[in-house]
Amino acid sequence: MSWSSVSIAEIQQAEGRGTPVLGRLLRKRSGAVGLVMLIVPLVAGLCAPLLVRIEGQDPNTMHTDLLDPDGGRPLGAFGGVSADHWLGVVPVTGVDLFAQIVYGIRSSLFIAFGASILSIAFAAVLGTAIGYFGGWLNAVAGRVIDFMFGFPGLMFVIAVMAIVPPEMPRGLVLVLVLAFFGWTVPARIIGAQAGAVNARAFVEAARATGAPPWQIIRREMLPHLFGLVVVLFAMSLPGNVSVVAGLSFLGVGLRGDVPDLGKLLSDSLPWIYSGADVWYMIFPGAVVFLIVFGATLAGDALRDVLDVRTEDAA
Amino acid sequence: MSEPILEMTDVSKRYRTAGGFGRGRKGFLAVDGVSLHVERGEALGLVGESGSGKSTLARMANGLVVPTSGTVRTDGQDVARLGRRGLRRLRRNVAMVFQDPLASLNPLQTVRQTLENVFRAHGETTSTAELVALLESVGLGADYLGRYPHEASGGQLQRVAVARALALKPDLIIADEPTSALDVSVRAQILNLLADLQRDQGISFLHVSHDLAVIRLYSDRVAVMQRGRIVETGPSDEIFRSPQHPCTRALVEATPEAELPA
Repeated sequence: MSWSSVSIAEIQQAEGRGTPVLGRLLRKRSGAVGLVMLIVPLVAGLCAPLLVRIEGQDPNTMHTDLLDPDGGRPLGAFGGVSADHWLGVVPVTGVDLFAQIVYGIRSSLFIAFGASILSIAFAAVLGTAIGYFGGWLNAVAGRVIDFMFGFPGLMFVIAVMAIVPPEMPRGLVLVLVLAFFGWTVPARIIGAQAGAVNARAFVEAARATGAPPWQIIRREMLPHLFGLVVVLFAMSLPGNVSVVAGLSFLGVGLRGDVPDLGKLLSDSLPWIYSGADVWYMIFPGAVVFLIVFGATLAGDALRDVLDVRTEDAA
Repeated sequence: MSEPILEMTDVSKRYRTAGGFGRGRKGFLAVDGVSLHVERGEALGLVGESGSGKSTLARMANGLVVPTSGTVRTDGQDVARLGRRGLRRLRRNVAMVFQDPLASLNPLQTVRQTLENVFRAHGETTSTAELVALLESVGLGADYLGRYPHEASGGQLQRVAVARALALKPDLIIADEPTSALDVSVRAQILNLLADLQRDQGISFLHVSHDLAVIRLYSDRVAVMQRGRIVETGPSDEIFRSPQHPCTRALVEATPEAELPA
């Protein structure tokens, strides 16, 4: 034996690429920026009651004294921004816009994240299975997905949401219904990619060493699919936010008194058309933009960081 | 005399072609009633032009390809009757080296992970010292453990692939064109490494190649394949000296006079 235990320790030290994934993600500029853009609104949503108390407001009190009696647009610059109302007030009702937004982040993101996590997780499991086993599973799943494509999903969602009994939590029902229609496209994309990975030589090489199916999926295939799953997740978030908004706009989304970013945006439409109060749209719109753009940036950077071949190209 | 490490009897493989009726529906006969055997400790060279079915035939030895008909006995066991677990146990003893190491090594795994996964596949763990010894046996230093495939050259990677094949101390190694993706300058090194393994560790080889010069130097016996059939078999020197079949003659004539450095 020509090596000592010291040299083995040295080998192991030299091997370790040291910094964990999060550290490398933060060192990448787009990763750090994206993460901040995503986390600031998230934390604001989580701490909504605290933030609103610090502001000294609540999401429901109507400050009609801050509105122009003729037409109901907020008085003052930037839609009534002041020390008391950080982002101004909502036209006509006069409720505090900051409170509406931070509470809205809560409900919108809870639903969008919930639906995206459920649908992408299911798509990842099904897609990987399609890619690995192929054959009849691929044929059956492919036909089911075709059927789902032809199915009028939005009509179905509207119908379901219209008949949900009032005692059921609408948020949870929305999550389930959105997830039910959200898995098809990601499952097909992941399935195609998994099939391509399954056909690569290193998978055959692993099979030739006698590796069991689970090890081949876990060690050989999944690392090659992770980036795609992350990006699909980041891409499905904004879609779900906007569908919730659309459903709220149609009156079948969340209950009328629950703040929701999408509802704020759709309510603000007439005010931006007339130009009477553009800030009503700009503030919640900026928050949606931050979340969506941040999720995309962070997802993209995460994929780069996890791929050893592009790791050093930061 | 003990049982051959590999014995194939009248094996055929028909690939179904996608769609189509009539002639297309019969599919493509890649291997057509082939019988061959590899004795223990022997290196059998399987040569043929591309598309002659030699890779398909080689993959039947460890069950990566299931023959349409005929029997394959590897290491004394009927491969068709092994079942999933038996097949995995068989693959402990029958390792494989592929053509392009850059493709056959997972680009997201370090050399250490690649090697560890071989042991993990059979519920075993291994030490760094063992892995270092494994790398040394193929002429690589311990510093390769932490490298990713894109951080090494083709020749070094093929050594890693050989180390992966050696990890579980196999009795038979199937080498599918192990040098045809490599630079000419490193081909001889890899071939010498394989020849050393055969001589020193008594490992049997099924060596697939389209290059008769390679086969001649490193195989005891040669089988020549053409369009799914074996057209000629015999000791390497004999085949080279007096090829009988036109296909063999063409292969011999296509071999450059200059020999590989030993």
